[in-house]
Amino acid sequence: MEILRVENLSKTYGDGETAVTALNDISFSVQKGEFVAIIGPSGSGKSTLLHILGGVDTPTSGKVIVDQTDMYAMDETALAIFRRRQIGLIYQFYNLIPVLTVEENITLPLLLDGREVNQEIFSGIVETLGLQQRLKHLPNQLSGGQQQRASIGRALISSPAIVLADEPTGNLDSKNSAEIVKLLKKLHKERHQTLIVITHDENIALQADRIIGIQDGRISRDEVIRR
Amino acid sequence: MCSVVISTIGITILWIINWKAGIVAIAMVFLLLLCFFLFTRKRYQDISKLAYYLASVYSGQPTMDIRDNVEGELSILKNDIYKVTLTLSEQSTLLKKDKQYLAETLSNISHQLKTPLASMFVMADLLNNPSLPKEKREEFLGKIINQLKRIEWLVTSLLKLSKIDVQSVIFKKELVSVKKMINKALEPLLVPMELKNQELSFSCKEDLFVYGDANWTVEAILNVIKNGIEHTPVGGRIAISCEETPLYTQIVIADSGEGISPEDAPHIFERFYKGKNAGVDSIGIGLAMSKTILQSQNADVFMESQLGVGTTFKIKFYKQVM
Repeated sequence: MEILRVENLSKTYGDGETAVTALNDISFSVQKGEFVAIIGPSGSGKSTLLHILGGVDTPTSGKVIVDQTDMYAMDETALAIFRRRQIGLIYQFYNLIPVLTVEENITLPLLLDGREVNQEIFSGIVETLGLQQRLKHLPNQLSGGQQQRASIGRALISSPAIVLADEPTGNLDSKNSAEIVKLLKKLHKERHQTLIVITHDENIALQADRIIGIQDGRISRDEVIRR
Repeated sequence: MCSVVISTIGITILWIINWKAGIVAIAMVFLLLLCFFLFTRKRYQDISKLAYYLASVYSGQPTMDIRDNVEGELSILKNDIYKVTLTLSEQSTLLKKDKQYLAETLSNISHQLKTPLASMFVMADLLNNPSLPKEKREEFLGKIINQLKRIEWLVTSLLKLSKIDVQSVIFKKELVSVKKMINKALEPLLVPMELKNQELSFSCKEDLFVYGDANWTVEAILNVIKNGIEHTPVGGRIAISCEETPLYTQIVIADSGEGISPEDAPHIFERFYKGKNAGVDSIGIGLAMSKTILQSQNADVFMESQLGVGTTFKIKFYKQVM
């Protein structure tokens, strides 16, 4: 079943002579439960693509359809709510809120929605992430790997339709990177979670089911590695 | 009800003190009651819409989008109900697919078994005739044995595949020489290659190693080369080479055969798929098995082909990263 469809997506920054085309007429679709890696050199437009998929940036033209909903046909408020419920984001620099504890950070998307935390789901996620002993800590009391795990928890707590990760291991050493990738793979397998990871590291991309290569704002390759 | 009683008492007291204030108070209470009534009606309408939606899902209608992306618990409920119904419908499609796949596989297998059985029946009948000359008798016996071998191969292959499918095979992870594996795979193929007068070129470095299960991987390589031999005409060429990149080690198997047509290309690794140029005895399981074996070991096989020029298979062993 199709969970994400991108149709003729283009994004241009600036205008006139200084216009930069970051994305040039990109189209692809992702099935539910797929683990897709998007790779490309820096400046290729991959981060722009992820931001547009995540609803944090708007495209110049084209459509992004997540779970049968055209994201950019909605107004600001509806988009914000949609994003909160359907999309989980993992950033390179974790973006945890420094004054909230790990527990509060993880449950933030639910609290924003004004709903109660389902303790069973919460403890299931915390256990998989191995953060049981760290729930009352503040983010700056954790290691980089642990902070990234907390941000994975935050991305998963609302059972989103897709999880987007922007260079999730970009700020970690190789041992912690391996652990994070292993964790993402495990979550993808156990929860049948659709996962889109952006990386410039081909080693990580090879762990995915499918690799989409981006170069100069266009799709340069689209290869299914395993089914 | 309680609030109505309290406000009536309040209004009465106000009326006694000042009748103007009493009228204002009455108006306010009515306004409040009206708001309450409208709000409740809206809520009941929303809930009955949800109930209607659930009933239609229950009766097997396709799920439609009921999410409205606004704040509030009713919208959250709609969102969650939508997620649940979507998951359910996805599971039921998967189940249907599985069922169809099973039925197709069964019919494929029975078909593959039936054809040789029928010809064996005929030959056994002929052998029954006591006046059959000796050379004819030997010919038929040879044919029956060939058919039996084919059935045996089919059954063992299917058993192997099903073992891999249910993950009861434990693939060893040992350092094995690529060259040794290719040599082992070539052993049983040298005779058929000689019979078809095909030229073999093979170049591979001695010091190329990959992690994997030697026995299974040899089987996978063998099936790919065998496919090449079958689709290359008499006097053709088979070239095998190896190379290493920082990400993977690969074996390249190129033949000078008839090539695979673009319509067949996406399907050649599917089980029981037979291309337009498939041989009479082809079952369509060899390449599928190669793919399954390789994919179970962090490796894969890919194909590129040009009609009339030949086909190239690339077996890639990805380096152990994680």
